[in-house]
Amino acid sequence: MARIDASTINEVLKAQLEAFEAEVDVREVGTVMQVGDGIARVEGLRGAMAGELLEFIGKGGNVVYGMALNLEENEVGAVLMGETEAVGENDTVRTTGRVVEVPSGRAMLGRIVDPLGQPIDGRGPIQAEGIRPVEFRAPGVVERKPVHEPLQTGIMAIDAMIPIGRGQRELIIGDRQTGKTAVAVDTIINQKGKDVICIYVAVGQKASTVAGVVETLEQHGAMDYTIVVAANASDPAPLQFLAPMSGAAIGEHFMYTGEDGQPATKDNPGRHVLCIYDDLSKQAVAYRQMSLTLRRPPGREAYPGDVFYLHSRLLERAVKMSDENGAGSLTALPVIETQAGDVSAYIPTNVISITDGQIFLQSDLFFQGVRPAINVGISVSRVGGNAQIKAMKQVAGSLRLDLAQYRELAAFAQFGSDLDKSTQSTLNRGARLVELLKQGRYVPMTVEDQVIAIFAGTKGFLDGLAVEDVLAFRDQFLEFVNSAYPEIGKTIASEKVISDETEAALSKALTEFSESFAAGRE
Amino acid sequence: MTTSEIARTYARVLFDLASAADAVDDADSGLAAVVESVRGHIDLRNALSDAQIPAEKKREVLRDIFGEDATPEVLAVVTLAVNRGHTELLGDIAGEFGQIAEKERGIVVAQVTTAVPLDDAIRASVTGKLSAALGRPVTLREHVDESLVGGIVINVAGRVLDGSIASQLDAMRTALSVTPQGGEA
Repeated sequence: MARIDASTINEVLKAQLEAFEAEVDVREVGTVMQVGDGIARVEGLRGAMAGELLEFIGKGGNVVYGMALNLEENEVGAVLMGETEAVGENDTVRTTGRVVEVPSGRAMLGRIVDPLGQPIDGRGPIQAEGIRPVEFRAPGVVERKPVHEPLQTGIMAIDAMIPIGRGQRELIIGDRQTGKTAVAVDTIINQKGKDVICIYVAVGQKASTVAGVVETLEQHGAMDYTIVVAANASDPAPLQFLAPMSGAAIGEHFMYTGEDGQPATKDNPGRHVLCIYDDLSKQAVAYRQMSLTLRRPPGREAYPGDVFYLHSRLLERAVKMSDENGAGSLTALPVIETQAGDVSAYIPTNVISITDGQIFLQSDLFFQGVRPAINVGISVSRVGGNAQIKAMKQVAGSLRLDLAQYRELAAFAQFGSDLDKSTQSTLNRGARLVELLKQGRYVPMTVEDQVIAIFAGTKGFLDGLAVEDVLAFRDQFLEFVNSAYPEIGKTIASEKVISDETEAALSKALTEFSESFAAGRE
Repeated sequence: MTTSEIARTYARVLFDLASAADAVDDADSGLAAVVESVRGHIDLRNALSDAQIPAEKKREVLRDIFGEDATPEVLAVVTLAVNRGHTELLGDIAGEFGQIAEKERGIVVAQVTTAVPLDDAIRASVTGKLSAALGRPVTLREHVDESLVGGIVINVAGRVLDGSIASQLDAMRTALSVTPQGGEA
C-alpha cells in the first residue's frame, strides 16, 4: 500500500476545493407554513421555478430536499423527498436555482439506483459522466427520423406480428399475473451483444420483486448493460412519481452523447437505449396522491386533470434521432396493469392512445397454456412494421391472416359437427401455429431462427404433426438446420430476405427432417 | 370579501393603531412572533381554532402567552382575528402588515445579523448600499449572533444575502463530503 503523506492529502484537498469559491450566497428564503402527508406549504419564495429543487433546513441542520409544484401568489406547495419527519413548521426553506436532476453515465450500468440517481445496492458511490434534468422537453419534428431499425425482443409472437422498432413506444398491458414483466425482462435479456443500454424502472413494486428481477438479469448476464431505477412500494409518492422520468433522463444521457461523452453528431453516434417503465399505473396512483394532498382538483377516478399530460410528455421522450443528431434512439416499453381486463379505465385508455401500439396479455390465454399469453388479435404495432426485416415480413404476413381466420372459426366450430374440408384445414393450421408461437421464459430466439420456424408453420410443414409434437419438432428442427445447414440461417441474417434459393434449401431441409422426425415418433 | 381583503383589513387596522402609538416596528416584530408561535405549536393552533372554547378563554390564553412580548395593539388585533375564526389568516395579516408599513412609511426594513455589533461606519455603508440596490430608503434591524463566526447576513424583501463565515464553512464541508458527479451533460 502506498504511504499517505501530508503532500498527497494537500493535493487532494486542493483539487476538491478548487471548484469552491467563497462568495456571498444570495437565495430566496421562505418559511414552512404547514407540513404533512409528505407535502409542505411554504410562505414566500415568490421567485421559485416550477419543479425547482428546494432545500428544507430541518431541526438539527438536517437538509431535506423537496420539489416545488404549486406556485401560488403567496405560497408554494412542495413535495418532500426523503425524510419527511425531519421537516416541521417554521423551518427555513431555500431555493437552489436548479430543477431536479439526476446523474448518469456508464458507471451506472449494473447498478440499482433510486430516482435521484443515488445507489441503493450498497456497492459504493457512482462516478457519473453527466447530469441531466429529470423533466426534459422531448425533441421536435426536425430532430427526429422515422423508426426504421428493429428492436428484437426475442419473443417470436412479438417479433413476427407486433414488431417493435428502436425509438418506438409500445405498451405492455394486461391483468396481474399475465407475464407483463416477463415480456420486459426477456426483451432485456435478448439485447445482449446488440449495443442497447437497458433501463428497468420499477415503480411501487415490492422490494422482493425487484430483487428477483435483478437476480434473473444477473443470471443471464444482462446486468452488464442494464440500469435498474427503483422506487419501491415503501418509498414516498414523490419518488415513485419521479422514477419513470429519471429513468428517461438517465437514458437520454446515452442517447444525446456519443461514446466519448461529447454531444452526439453525425460522426459521433448516440447510443441506443431501451427504457421499461414497470408500471405506469402505479406512477399515476402516486401522482394522484400528491395532487390530492396538494389540493389540486380531482377529475375522473380522482386523478388530476394533467395525468394525461404526465404520461404523454414522458412517452414523447421516446425518440429516434436524425442522423445529424447522432441517430441514437430511446425505445419505451411502458407497462400498465388492468383490473379484470378492463382496458376502458382512465389510465389504460390514456396510455393506449399515447403509445404506438400495445401488446395485450390475457389471463385466460395464460391459463390455457398459451405463454407468452399475447392476444395477437387485438395487439398492434403502428410503426414497427417498417422496422421488420424483409424475410420476417415474407413469412409472417400470412401468419397473422391464418391466425385471424382460425380465431373466427374456432369460436364457431365449438358448436359444429360436420365441418367442410377447408374449414378443417384452417382449424388444423391455426392450432399448430398457436402451438408454434409458444415460448418459454429466458429463451430468446434469434431472428433467423424465428423466420425458419414460422416458415415451417405457414408453409404447412406442421400440418401433418400432432399438435403436442409441434414444439418438439420446432426445437429439434432448429437444432438440425443450424448443424446440418448452417448457411441457411447465415444467409437470412445477412441478406435479410428469403430468396428463391434459400426457400428451396429450407423446404428441402424441412422435408428431410420431417421424414426422420416421423420415423422417430413411430 | 376574499381572504386577502380580510387580511388587509386587519393589517390596516393594526397599522393605524400602531402608528398612532408610534410603535410600528414593535408591532411588526410582535406580530411575527405570534405567527411563528401559533404555527409551531399544534396544540395552541387547535385551541385557538376550536369553536367550543369560549372567546373569553381564548383572550386569556393569548394574553398569558403573548402579553409580555407583543404590544397591546397586536394583542388586540390578534384576539379579534382569533375570535372571529380567522386564526388561519394570521400569516397573511403579517405579510400584509409588512407591505402596508413599507408603503406608508416609504422605507424597507432589512434584518441584519452579524457576529459582533455593527459600528457606525459599517452601518452607514450597509444602509447606503442596500438603499441604492432597492431604490428606497432602508432601515436596519440589527441582531447579533455569535455562531456566524464572522461576516454578515442580510434578510431583505424575501431574500437572504448570506456572507457569513459559518455558511461558507458549511459549503466547504459539503464540497468535501460529496463525490464529484462529473461535468454538465
